[in-house]
Amino acid sequence: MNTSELHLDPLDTQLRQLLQGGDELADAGFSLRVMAALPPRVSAARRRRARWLRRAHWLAMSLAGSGAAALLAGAGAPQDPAHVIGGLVLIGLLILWTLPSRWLRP
Amino acid sequence: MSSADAAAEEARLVARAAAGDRAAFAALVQGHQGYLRKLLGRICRGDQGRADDLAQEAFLRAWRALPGFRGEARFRTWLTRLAYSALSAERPALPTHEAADEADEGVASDFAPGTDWRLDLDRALATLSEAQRHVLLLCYGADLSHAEAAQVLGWPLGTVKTQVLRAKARLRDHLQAWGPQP
Repeated sequence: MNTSELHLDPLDTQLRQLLQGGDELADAGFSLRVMAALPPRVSAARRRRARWLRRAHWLAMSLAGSGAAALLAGAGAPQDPAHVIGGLVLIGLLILWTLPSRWLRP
Repeated sequence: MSSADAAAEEARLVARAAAGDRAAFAALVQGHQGYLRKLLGRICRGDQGRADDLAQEAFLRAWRALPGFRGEARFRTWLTRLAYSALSAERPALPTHEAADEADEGVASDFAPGTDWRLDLDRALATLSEAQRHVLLLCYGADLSHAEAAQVLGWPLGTVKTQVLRAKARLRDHLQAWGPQP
């Protein structure tokens, strides 16, 4: 408690003696344990870049999904081979982009 | 080193650690681990293993949050606040200020007075409510001001002051009932 809040009260003194009594604990490897557990610090610029990459990733997946649906739409209608190939390529890209990528993690 | 020099040195270490300097953060850990582990040991009623886990979690949170630390509070107060956040994440039953206002019943005790005032006071402390125990540990054990204790607990300042007064009144009642007044 700060000096401004000190009262000449024996109970205050005894509480302080009791609750502050005893030595502070020796480090005994605690600091090393903490430092070993520290995660790498991610810079703000890197976090921003990862955020934009994530957005671009979702946009690309949405476009690929929409493109594949548009190219392969029309059940029963004869499909132009180029459209089929284009649709399959987009589906392939969609599958590829849904795979987790460490580059997207901050 | 004077307290002003120590505060300036600590501010430098905090700034370097916030910028990602691990050696500066290690110095902060070494400087505050004794205080924090001792306080948490008391909060955890002597379970030092659990206290050390909480202290480690508080330091990890500090490392992550340091870039956002603006120095509005002392580093020690901020660290204690992070330790309490870790404690409440682990034990959501930590008293809130609403509960602190309501819970003034304390814990029933049937112990006899001891001859040593420390023993008497220690036993009297065991009769306090959780909220009162926490507030005394912070204000007297950790030597925080009422305002700092309010920051740590997330309570209004008035609640902290009220809880300190009630806790001391309860302690006095017990101690007077058992023997010579402290």
